[in-house]
Amino acid sequence: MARCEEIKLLLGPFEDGELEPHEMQEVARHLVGCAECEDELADYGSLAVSLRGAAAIPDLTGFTTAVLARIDQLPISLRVRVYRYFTSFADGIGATIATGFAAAAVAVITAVILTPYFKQAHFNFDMSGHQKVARATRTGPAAALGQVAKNEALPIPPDVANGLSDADDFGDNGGAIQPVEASSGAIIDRLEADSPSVAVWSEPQSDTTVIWVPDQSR
Amino acid sequence: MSRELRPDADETELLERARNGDSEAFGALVERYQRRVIGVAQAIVHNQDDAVELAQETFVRAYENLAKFESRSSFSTWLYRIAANLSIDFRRREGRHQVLRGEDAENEINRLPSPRGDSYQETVRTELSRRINEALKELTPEHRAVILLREVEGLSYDEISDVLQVPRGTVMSRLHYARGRMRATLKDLGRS
Repeated sequence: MARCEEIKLLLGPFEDGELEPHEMQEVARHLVGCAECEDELADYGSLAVSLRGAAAIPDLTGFTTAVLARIDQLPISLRVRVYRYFTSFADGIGATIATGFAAAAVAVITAVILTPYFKQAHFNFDMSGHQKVARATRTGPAAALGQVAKNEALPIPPDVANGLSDADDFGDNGGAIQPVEASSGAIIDRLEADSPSVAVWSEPQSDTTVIWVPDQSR
Repeated sequence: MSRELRPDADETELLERARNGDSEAFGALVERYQRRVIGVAQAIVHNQDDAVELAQETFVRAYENLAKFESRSSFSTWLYRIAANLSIDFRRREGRHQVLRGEDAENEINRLPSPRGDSYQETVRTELSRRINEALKELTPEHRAVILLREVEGLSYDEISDVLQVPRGTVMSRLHYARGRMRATLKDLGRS
């Protein structure tokens, strides 16, 4: 019986699986030949089942909400405050960076889209300016020559008058731009060559060609 | 600031987020352990209403002290220990050594889930529950706590030792005594 008393101390842990392997084997061997210990072990098993069956099942409705409501009333710890500060700071930095990236992206896209239009507009501007210069150049020597000569009422030397007629001929030449520019220089060169006393120069700022003719009355 | 909470978020992640003030993450931990924490408290105070209040207090204390939790034991064991300490303090403070009052015993029985249909089985079940509760009343709070933590909550001997802060050998001897006493009382009640 002393053997049974020793084993009975181990029956509970045997039921719970809390014995060392060699103890488990020892109890199992004893149980094979001991009806009393086997009954006691069976009682432990049914006791466990009864206890679990009798356990009241708590109503958990609203439990978590109640706990969180109590937690909300607690003062915020320093750790949490520091964490929230840095998190919001990081969020702010992140938002700034995101805004910067967005702005840069918009700028790049705008530039990509508008660049061809700008180029076209610039080209048109250059072309119109070029044409204006060319037109001024075309009209400049001839008109200015006549205008200056008329306004000043100066006696025009015959060689200059020839140049004028040439210029007029040239002016009737149908508006071809390039030949006009080339011929303007030629006219000036011819005037200067034929009449060394005549000086001709161009004032691009005022879009004017000046022809200086010496006073014939002297 | 608060990130999406995955349903399968692991305990470590939930703890870290809860430490940083994420109440949603802590709520997930409460959901996970509430039933067992109530069970531990109930094993000691043996009154469900008190156990629910003590369990709430357990979670609040746990939240306040999350920064001190160093993961040397599992979070659940830490929670159970808090619940056990609060429950033992409560029992001492209230002087409720005769914890299962008559009215509470009736309530406990009424709260049992009733099996469908067979009223005879229900009667048997109710009678068995009454006897179990009578037998539990015969135990000291220490013995009752140990047997309930083991049989109802399924804690291992080491966990019970940790939660109640008594040596493992004490857990074994208390459990042996409680089982023997319950067995004897139930046989007596059966005979009467």
